[in-house]
Amino acid sequence: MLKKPSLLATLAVLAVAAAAAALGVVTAPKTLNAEQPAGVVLGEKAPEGATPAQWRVIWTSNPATSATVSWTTATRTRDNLLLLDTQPRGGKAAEYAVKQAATESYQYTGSDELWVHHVRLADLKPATKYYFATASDGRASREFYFTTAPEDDVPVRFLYGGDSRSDRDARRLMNRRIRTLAEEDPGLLCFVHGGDYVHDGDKMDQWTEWMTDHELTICADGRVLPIVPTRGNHESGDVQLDQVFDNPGGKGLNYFATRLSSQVLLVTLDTEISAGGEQAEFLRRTLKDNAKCRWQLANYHRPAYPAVKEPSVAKQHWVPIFEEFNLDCALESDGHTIKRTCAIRADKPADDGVVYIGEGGLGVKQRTPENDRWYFKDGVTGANHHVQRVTADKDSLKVETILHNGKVFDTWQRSPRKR
Amino acid sequence: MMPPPAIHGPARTALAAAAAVACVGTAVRQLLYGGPVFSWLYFEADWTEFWALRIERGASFALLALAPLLFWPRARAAAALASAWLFAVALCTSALAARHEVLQLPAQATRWLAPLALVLPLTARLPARWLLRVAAAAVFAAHGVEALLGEPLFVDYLLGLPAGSTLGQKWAEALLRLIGGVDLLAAACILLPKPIRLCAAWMALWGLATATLRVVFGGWGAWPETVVRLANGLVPLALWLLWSPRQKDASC
Repeated sequence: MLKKPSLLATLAVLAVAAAAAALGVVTAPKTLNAEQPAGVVLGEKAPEGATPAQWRVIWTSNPATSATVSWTTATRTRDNLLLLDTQPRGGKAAEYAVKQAATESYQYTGSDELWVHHVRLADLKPATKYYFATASDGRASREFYFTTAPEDDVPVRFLYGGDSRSDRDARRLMNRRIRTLAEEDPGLLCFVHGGDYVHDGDKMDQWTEWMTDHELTICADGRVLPIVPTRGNHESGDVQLDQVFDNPGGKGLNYFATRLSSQVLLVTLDTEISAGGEQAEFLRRTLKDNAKCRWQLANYHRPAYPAVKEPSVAKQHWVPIFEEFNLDCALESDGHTIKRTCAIRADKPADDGVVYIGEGGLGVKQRTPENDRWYFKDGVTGANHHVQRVTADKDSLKVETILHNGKVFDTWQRSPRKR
Repeated sequence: MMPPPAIHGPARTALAAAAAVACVGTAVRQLLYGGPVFSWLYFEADWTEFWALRIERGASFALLALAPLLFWPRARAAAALASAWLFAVALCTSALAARHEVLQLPAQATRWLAPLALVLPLTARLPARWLLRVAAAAVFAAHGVEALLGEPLFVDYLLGLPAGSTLGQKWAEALLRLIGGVDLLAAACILLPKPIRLCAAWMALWGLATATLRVVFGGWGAWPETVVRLANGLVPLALWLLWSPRQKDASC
């Protein structure tokens, strides 16, 4: 039974939601001025009709100059536009410098009613705020913004986390934590998701919940943290991940390299396809071509040095390449624990080795890690919902593990290598 | 008095070995990394981690204790218990699988059907033999289909072989399709009414070779992966022994 205060709180939330719904979504087929007000409640409602919802900004290869803006509608819409400017326009359609039609619009596989719209942006200016609103058949969203990645050698901060698949309450809690971290830090660049977004990657009802929950990461002022997507085993072979994130890296081949600044390289790999062969070649070529880049990180789902399960094929096919090119840190998910290994080289502790950090706590039951594994002797393990904040500047690479309540559980730091 | 078992002699030893390695491999994997039953109980059935872990660890120690008993023809209850747990493992693997869910139960058929064949009495001589044939066919058919679908893990095993790097991904994928076709052919041959001993020999050799591949690829640390798959070669080996011309009843 509901107690009085929680009943009042529920009524208040319902009242706010009803007011937001009434104010925020105005049908205006002939004009694009009917924007959602900035105060509209995000992350609470599934898409309805032609009203844009479930926004995400997607980064893959060139985040300084390109991005994909995507959104969902709950019906087929003919005119899908992105309104874009480097100045805030308050959602007033006529004032935006750029009005770009959706590059692609199609129905999500496995859904009777949900449609996705992708607008691929190119030739953007680095380190620049881009204000945008989305409009489908005359219904426009409120204004949001994101910042493109820098091209020069400036400090970079981003968030990393994985496994948001099966505990929705915890996922929403962590998304709110991500928003708080972003609101506290305007310099936070993006959010790297390590995969396993949902339990069944071929079920659109789960994906639509995830996308609605992802709205909770949007800051109160409309700032959207671009997401760098990774394929997890719960999305293994499922087309829906490619549809939600606009084929990151390529359809079914989700590996790519992201320069987050002139001196920070993040290589995203796909543990659900062959790790050897072409993907290993890509990894080798990328690390070789960026050998002088100060900070080099990799991100993939199934771990080479797991805290609970057996090692994935990453250990055989990628770890030797990581070590050959002196990767600084590998970000891993899948285990549903917190972990930081010692620095590892040739399967032994070594000060100049690679450190493996993860391993998935964005909304899934946590497991007790096997902390007696040799690589945790000078490492850290734990079991709690968490997200990692990575800071890379001229003097150090720092990874902090931040719990759902905002407490910093672990901090690891390393100095630049001679490259 | 307990009736004699359906399968006896060297074939029974091979079958007991198949069941025993399946038990040991499964138990060690569960103890080292946690198994699918734990994952299913904890993540899907919402048990507490404490109880899910205790159940699986308890079963692991039981499997290790049961393994040597399987060589004793009278220990049929031990074989039945082992078969039940190994079936549960296959079932949970199937329930948790992100892809090829329907292939998981047949892919592990030798593990859970080999101990079941040990349970059957002499009066069930024919069903016991067909059980082994079906087990071998199921394993080869499931792996054959996975190979034809281009299972990335299999591609990586081929690429991880000493000569794999010169092979390249495209050729590895083509070779895998060929292997898949051969697996399906073997699965069909082993089910033909007239026993084909050569087919059983091929399946035994290929089953043992692919099990060994896990250590070649993953190093000595991957030995439980090899051990648990030895049953894929030992069950066809039992059939090969049963179909020996010296055997009086080699006709089925």
